[in-house]
Amino acid sequence: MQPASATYTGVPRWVLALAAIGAAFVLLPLLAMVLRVNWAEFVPLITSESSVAALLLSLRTSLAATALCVIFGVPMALVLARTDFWGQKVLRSLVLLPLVLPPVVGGIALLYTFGRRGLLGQSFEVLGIDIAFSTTAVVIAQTFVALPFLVLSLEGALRTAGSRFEAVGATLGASPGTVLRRITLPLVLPAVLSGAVLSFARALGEFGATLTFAGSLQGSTRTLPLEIYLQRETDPDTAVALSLVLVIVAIVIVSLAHRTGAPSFRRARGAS
Amino acid sequence: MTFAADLHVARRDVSLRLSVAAGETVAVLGPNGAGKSTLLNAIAGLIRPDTGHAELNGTVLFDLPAAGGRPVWRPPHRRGVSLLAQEALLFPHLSVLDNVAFGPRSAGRSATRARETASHWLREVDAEPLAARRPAELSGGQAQRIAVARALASDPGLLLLDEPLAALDISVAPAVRRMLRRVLADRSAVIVTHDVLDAYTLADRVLILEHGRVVDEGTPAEVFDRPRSAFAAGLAGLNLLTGIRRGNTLSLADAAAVLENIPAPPVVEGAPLSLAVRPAAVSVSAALPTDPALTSVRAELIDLEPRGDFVRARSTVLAADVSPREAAELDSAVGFPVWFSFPAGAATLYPTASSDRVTPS
Repeated sequence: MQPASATYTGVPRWVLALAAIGAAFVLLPLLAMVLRVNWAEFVPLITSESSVAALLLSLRTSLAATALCVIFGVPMALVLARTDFWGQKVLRSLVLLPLVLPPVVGGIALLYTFGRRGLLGQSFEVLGIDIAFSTTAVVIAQTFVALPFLVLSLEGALRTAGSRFEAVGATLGASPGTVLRRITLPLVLPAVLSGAVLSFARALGEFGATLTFAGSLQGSTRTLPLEIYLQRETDPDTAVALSLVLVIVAIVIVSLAHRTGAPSFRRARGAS
Repeated sequence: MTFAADLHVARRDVSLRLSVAAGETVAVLGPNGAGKSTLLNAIAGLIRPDTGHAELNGTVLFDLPAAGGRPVWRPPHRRGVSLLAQEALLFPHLSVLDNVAFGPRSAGRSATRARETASHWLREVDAEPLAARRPAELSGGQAQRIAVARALASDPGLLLLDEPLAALDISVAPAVRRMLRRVLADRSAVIVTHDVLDAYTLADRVLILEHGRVVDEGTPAEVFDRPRSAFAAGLAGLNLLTGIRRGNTLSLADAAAVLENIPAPPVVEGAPLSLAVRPAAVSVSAALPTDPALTSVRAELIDLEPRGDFVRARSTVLAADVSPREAAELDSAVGFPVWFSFPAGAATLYPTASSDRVTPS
């Protein structure tokens, strides 16, 4: 093996071996899938009416969910990182619960909140709004599972950055609103972006909560992952082709997240 | 009176009173944990004292009565108090010019006028050519100059400086100190420092803090020539001996030693007396010196500490600076009592509780 750098790394050989097995474990299934793609039929398969409908619905709902994650997640991260109140630790754990909750359970919980007989659903029904099994339900399900990603990454960035710049801003006469707009948000913008990208990725891949809470109606609630799952039974070639599309989107997203997430540190370090 | 504060922070055992006249610069010195930063942060509004009161140019910054009454707490951005820290803390995402323009912008000026103000203050700190740079492209000294300009551009009624030179390279600190002296000349400011030179060059008045209390207050010359605290004496490079006058001897308070043959004491018999003497003026000998003009005290020699071209002989009572040759002769006396003596003219004697300067409350 070619040494990557001239300095001593201190990594034992068996660690390298285990790491190689782990990497293979992640990469082999992707390779297996790529090998199974029917390239001759690839373009017609992913441009069929139902495929395009699913893809567009997925992009639309995921973007809407990402916007909601930013709108509510940024304030949540600020409150969790910068304020101090009784029960904050418990609240943080609960807010991050969707990360570890099986999505199906999340879907059921949403159903009993926004569903026709749900906690809030009854009031919505009075207003003539029916959420469950609509595109709105897809967005709600995606936001529910994706929100913790943004909150978590932004809260970490806010804690790392500390509040010293904000204190300086305040003693220079800037109101809390000005400090937020001109100091805090620009400083953590890379973390907001990478958090948003992660949320988008999670929303795009969302399956269980969507199926439970929104169902699977072509054009209105059948997102790409649902479409793939359904096609797998009848038309494996379409399922594989669409899966590859999702893999490519995921790779693009991950590389974007890496690029936007990294500079925040360098810039903050260089400053002090 | 421009600024007056009286504040108490129970959990840090800080209880301080401070006033700054118009145009006056007050230096605050004290050991680590004495409450210096707590004082500045409370004035700036970054921490909230338990009780206290502060006013700046007739505006109440905070009024937190011990019991009863409605507490008043003005948030930091409405105080007109700027805090300059040890690190420059320039906003990394803004250019130098926009950093300095931040205060005027926050006060509601137009972008153009704010930048004009910023340019003016950049000229004041000799940093105008840096206007277009990013903070990451500045050296420590340059960054601190910009931070000073930024603090001044917000036109604070009171400027707080928390060890502004401590993080700077020894080679750039003098230039920044000169710049500070110029901009602080007619400005109400409080500067926390560890450096006697800062106090002498920048301050009109000095406060010594220990354990959250003001232990001494006066002009730099008063505080450092006639120190009342071991801390101030240490900063001034003086031995401080305090005790009770008994005839022409001084019975030391904290060590069981007696200073013999003290020169013309300014206090009456039995009164508390302080004596300050430079280690360089003190000599060490195995036997009691025969010269009747010398003041002497017998104390255990603790160790000999090389300090460049001289050696500091430390004892339980005071220190003496001796030549390496004398030190070599004393080497065998370490751990045993020896005589420390100094001529009458080298010592300053003054009443421990004197009325010649403001007694701290």
